[in-house]
Amino acid sequence: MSYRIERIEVEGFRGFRKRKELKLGENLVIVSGPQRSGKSSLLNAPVWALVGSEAEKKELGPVPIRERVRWIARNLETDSTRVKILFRGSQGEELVVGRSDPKGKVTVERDGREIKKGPLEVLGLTLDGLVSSVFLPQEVIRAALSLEPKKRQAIFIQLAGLENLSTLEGCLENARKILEDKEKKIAELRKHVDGRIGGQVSLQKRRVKELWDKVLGLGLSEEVLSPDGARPLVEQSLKGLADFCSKYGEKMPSIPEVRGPEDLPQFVNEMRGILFRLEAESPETRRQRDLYDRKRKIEALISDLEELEEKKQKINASKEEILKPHGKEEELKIAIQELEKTLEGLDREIERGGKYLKMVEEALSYFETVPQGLAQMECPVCRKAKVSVAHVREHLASEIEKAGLEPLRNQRQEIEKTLKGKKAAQEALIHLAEQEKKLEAMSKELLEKASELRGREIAPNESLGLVLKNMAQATEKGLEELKGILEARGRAIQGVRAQLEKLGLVVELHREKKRLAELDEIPQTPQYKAFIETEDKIHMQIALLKELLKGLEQEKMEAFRQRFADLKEEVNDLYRRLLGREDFSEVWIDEKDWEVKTRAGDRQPTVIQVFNVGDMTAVALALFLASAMRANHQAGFVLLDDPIQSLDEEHERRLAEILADLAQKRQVIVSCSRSSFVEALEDAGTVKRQVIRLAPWDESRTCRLQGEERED
Amino acid sequence: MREVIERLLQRIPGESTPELERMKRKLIEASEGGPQGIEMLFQSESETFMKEAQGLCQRLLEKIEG
Repeated sequence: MSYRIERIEVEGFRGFRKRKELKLGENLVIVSGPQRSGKSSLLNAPVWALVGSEAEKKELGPVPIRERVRWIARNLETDSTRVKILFRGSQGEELVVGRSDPKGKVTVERDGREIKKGPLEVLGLTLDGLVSSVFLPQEVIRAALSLEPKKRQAIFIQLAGLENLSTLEGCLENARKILEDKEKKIAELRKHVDGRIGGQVSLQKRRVKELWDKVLGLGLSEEVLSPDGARPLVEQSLKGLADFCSKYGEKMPSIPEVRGPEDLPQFVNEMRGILFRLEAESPETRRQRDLYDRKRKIEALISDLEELEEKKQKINASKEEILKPHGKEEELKIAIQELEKTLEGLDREIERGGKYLKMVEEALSYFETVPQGLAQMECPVCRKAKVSVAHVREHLASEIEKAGLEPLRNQRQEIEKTLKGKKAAQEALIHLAEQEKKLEAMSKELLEKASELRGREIAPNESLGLVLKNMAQATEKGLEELKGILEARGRAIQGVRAQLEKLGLVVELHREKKRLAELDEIPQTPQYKAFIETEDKIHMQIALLKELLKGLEQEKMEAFRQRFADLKEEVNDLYRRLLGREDFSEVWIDEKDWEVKTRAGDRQPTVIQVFNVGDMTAVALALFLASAMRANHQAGFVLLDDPIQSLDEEHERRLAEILADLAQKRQVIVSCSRSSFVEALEDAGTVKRQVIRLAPWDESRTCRLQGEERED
Repeated sequence: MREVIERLLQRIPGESTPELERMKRKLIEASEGGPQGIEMLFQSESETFMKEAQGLCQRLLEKIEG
């Protein structure tokens, strides 16, 4: 069973903005047109329908189409893309493959019924098969002409149908790089760890040495680090403690037994605690604390008393100052009473005078209205009878003058001022009396506190200041006596402590030596070993990858050799036909640098390296066409996108003949912009052909057939 | 792809170790996912190693610092 392409439908695909349907009726289909007329778009349409823009593993297997990565299928002026290809089987079956974007939907229908298989699977194709024997894009031929051996190798491997091995190689290389990157980072981590161990070890060694120097400086020998070496120091410490307790009447505390060096830290800690307690908790130290407390309290009372006395003195001085202009307090009181009485009298007099004055003024105002001639009356002032009005008026005016109250008011003001001054003094004295009362209460409180501190009441005839001074002196004396006792006790404890601290130094030396040993042993720890194991695992995986890559290279070479050997006859034949050189007996690819070599010459065959780009194109074409002729999949068509590249007209003609021959077996769809090649294809062989002529690209911005009218 | 990987693994010379055998088994499993599956396997392995190494480094540093 073999399928050929019968119809291509495109819309929004590459150069075809508008919908286009093309029927491909013949075995040799020539797609011609100028550059950018849509030839490659047309040839790519069946490939896109089969594999999409990029090969995806789940649909196609592992191999991406290298040339189609990042290839845009969508026409840039449309939102969606649709391609439908009708394949016709050799028995007349109909296979329709449709693909659309952006939904990426693929449908496969056989004889009008949708089937679940993928399009490649239906055609019995793998991606390797597609790129080596069905579709030959321009880029592949160009890559074969590359000067870089690596690129040439990649393309010859692809043409040999071994692209999957190249992809595997790429992925293994990537994996190797990833692992080597992590290997480097892990090595840096270990270097960091090793550096820290080294730094810490040398620091620790210095510490141990310093401690050793101290230990030896105390007259101790290295023996102290032996299992029983510290026992004499333990015994000396215990004896020192026992002597102290016996001397000072203290009970010997219980101390954990030292059975070996491991008990020493606890022994030293316990002993340190005991010595601290003996120093801080003796009756003398408690007595000293009490005396210091008593001293502080007495000093506070003395300070309070001094403050009280000072305040009292200030009050007395103020009192004296206030009473200075007023005599004694009693005299001040009497003077105030008298001034108040005088003031009351004056007030009465002023009131009386005021009433009389008013009456006279009213009389005068009356007589001022009486006519002068009618003065037959008694004078209200002098009581003289039959006086004139003028006489009355004169006497009344004189009386008003005499009854003037101003002097009385002035006198009253003076007295009031004096009274105010005296009352202010009286109030100030009251205030001072209140303060005195408070001081009295404070004084009482002070007395109570002092009595309590003395432990006996202070009699009224005793001076508080003197009592406090005596108490302070007694306390000071007590402290002085204790100082000597405590110093002697402290010296005794210090002696025991000095013995103990020798042991403390030994304990410290033990500890630091142990720490040094721990640091030295870190490389033997399970964590460090696990680190090394992790490094070993990553080394192993890198080694594994290197071996796989090495094996893959061999595999690839063997497969390539095998493939080339299988196709050797066809390749040689096609190469000779393409070049028209019967003397080129053999063509092969030198795997060393992926150079193409040929053996030429009838009489004395010589190996020639192929440099010529036309000849290189011929090799790529020969390899592809040989694969296409041999292919046993069900894709009965071959797509060649502008295959002539740098071939001249003579070579074009030969290629046209070969393609016409191939078209006897498979449908050949070939695109070309050069008219000479189109003509050569039209003339070649006897196979039926169809020419699709595409119009030049214009303002309609969509590919169309030549002669076809523009829709817009 | 699985056959290719199996063939390649058979080519590996020298004595095997349990770790190598584990990797071989994983490789064969991963080959079902194609070359990308194999790449992903090594990527995941490398990340595991890195995490392990970082964790161990941290613990060792704590030990060193005491």
